[in-house]
Amino acid sequence: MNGADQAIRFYEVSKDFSNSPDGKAPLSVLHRLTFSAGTGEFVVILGPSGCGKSTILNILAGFERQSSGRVSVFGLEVGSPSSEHGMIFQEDSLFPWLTVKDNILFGPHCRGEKSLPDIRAYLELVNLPGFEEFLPHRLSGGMKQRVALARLLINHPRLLLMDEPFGALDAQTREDMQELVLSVQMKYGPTVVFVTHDVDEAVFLADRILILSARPARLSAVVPVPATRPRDARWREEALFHRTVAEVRHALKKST
Amino acid sequence: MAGFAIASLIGIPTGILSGRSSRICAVIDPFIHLLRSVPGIAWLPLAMIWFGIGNRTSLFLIVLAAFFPAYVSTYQGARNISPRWVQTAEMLGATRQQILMRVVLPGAFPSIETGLRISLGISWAYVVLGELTGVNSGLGALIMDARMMGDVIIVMVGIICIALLGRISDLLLQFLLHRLPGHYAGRTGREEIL
Repeated sequence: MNGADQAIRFYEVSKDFSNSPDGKAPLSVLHRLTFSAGTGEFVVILGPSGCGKSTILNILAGFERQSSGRVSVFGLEVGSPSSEHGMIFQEDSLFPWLTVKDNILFGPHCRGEKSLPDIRAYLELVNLPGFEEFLPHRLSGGMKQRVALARLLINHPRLLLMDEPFGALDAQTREDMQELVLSVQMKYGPTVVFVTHDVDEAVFLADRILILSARPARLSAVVPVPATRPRDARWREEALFHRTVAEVRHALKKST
Repeated sequence: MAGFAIASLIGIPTGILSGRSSRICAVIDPFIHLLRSVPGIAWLPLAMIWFGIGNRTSLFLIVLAAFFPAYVSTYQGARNISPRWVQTAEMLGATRQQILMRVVLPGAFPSIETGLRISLGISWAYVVLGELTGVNSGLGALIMDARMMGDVIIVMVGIICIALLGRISDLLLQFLLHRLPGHYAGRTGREEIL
């Protein structure tokens, strides 16, 4: 867990929002948070809503800057957003004026790539073959998230940030998407930081679960998930899965 | 036509820049709104001194009047772009210029379209106004002549022609805008979700 093997290092990171409208004391969102993640590791961050989980992802993506402390990703300080760190948001982020194909090719287009990658392979990977020419408004919520995922994967990000990406989906679609994420991670091996408040989802996906306290967020527990990879849908049925879920729920309760 | 084109060509880029940069906005936006509150017709005496009576005065007034709707709605559209779209473009590797051209411009398109339709209507109104006051050909001049002759029927026919031509030009503008690549207004949510 040290040296060049580390994908992410959060060291004593605090984040305050000073521009509170009523002129009160600055709102402290993160308080001296320290954690790290190894290359290729799947880390899930769990915590009560409003505790600053999304802020962690925003800092990693380069959308926001920490107030103090150090953040490095693959050994480098995080500067501006880059295609190395891809983020999937909870809400729809597709460009409504572009077809599925042009949405997915947005990154390669911006880099001015001469030979564009074959998007059919990516559409097949996310189980949407044949949807190239569709406009986003004709897709369901789950399909939109699949396109958003394909749009990131075509850039081959080394770090995948997911901010409650399936929070707005129904239970069945959610499980399908979780299995899709597992297979994508197996194929490309990116480091993943995944934020959720769904305990089952966390245990199903994670190598390690970080549990945060209420605001300002501190690390209140770390639960390793005792399952090997590759995993598939059967992992949900195992007794060990249910024991781990119970353990995580317990730790979550203690933290609030 | 030329007046409308010039007004759009100035109005849309300034609107985009002003809507996306608080620094540019702080410099030009108050100034533009100060000018905007002057009714177009109040410029007429000044325009006549500068350009004399005739087509160039008309052109000046049209550009001036048609600029504001194009600017204001582009500004509003650019300002209301979802921050998510901008963040998404950034993390997909877009440069600032690419974000303006590939995200802000198409994203603001529905507002820009509204602005252009209003601008075109105003341009048309000022064409007729110019003909009523200085230019001595065209529908406006025809109406004025008919008034001199006391021929109310011709005046009415003139007004109906103005209305029809205005409507046709509006439809033509919409037809052209809807053929632009990247146009998506009216294409959202109409069909059934799959």
